[in-house]
Amino acid sequence: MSDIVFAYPKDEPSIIATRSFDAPVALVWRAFTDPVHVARWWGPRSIAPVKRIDKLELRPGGAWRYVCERPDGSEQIVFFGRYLEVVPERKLVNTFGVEGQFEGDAAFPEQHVFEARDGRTYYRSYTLLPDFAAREGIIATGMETGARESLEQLGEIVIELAGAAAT
Amino acid sequence: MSPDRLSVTLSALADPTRRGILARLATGAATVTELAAPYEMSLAAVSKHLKVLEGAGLVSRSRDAQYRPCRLEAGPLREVDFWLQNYRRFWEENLDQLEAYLAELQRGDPEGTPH
Repeated sequence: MSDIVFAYPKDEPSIIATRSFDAPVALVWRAFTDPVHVARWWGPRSIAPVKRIDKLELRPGGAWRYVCERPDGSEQIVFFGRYLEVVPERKLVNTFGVEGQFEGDAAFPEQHVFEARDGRTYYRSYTLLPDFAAREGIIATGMETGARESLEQLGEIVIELAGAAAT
Repeated sequence: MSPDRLSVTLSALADPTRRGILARLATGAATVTELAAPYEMSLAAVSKHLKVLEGAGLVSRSRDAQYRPCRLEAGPLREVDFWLQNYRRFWEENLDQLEAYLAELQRGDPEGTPH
């Protein structure tokens, strides 16, 4: 059973996901960064499992590009980005883009942190929402210009409001 | 939803006062005066928040009625909800697959040498 938890931090527009794996960190790292391994698990099977690893240049500045395909073969979805930081078995920082959707400046950074404890691997991903921080200062109310305000429970609030508005 | 629109909607939602206004509007249309009532701030300040919400397409205001009541527009909220749910689902499922794959590797080959 997965122990995944998603959190929306108070002080910045990010999403944090944490979960653990019953495997040593060295193995988790390899599964995450070796193209032969990545090709065997990446890409949700109900959405678009990976077909081909085009690029996986595991070094700062290196590119990654995974070609995924809809389960019914109707459409290809290409995920791509660059590695910003590579610390073996500890930390991987990359940009995350989707061709035709999130490209260039809109591709957003993702940080993956791995920690070994009691034979398990504790994984934490940290995603800064697309292009949001830079814009907040511009769009802000003028009352607290540039201040990063609460996005706490954003997901829950959005669902609640959308539900209330639908009735 | 384009990243630009997503970003504008998220920015509008980032403020607690604006979320409060949206929550109030979720129960029905209201005038600026009614919306301002729970807050210790001027009507002008509340109007500024409303402008941000209008700019993000989250609130509409009637052009003809004398008091120009504000209404909640749920479209952008559904889009953000859709984006967040998709993003969560993507990683939840992706990491479940990783877990299954790790288990498979450890059963067959503890070193995880690619087959």
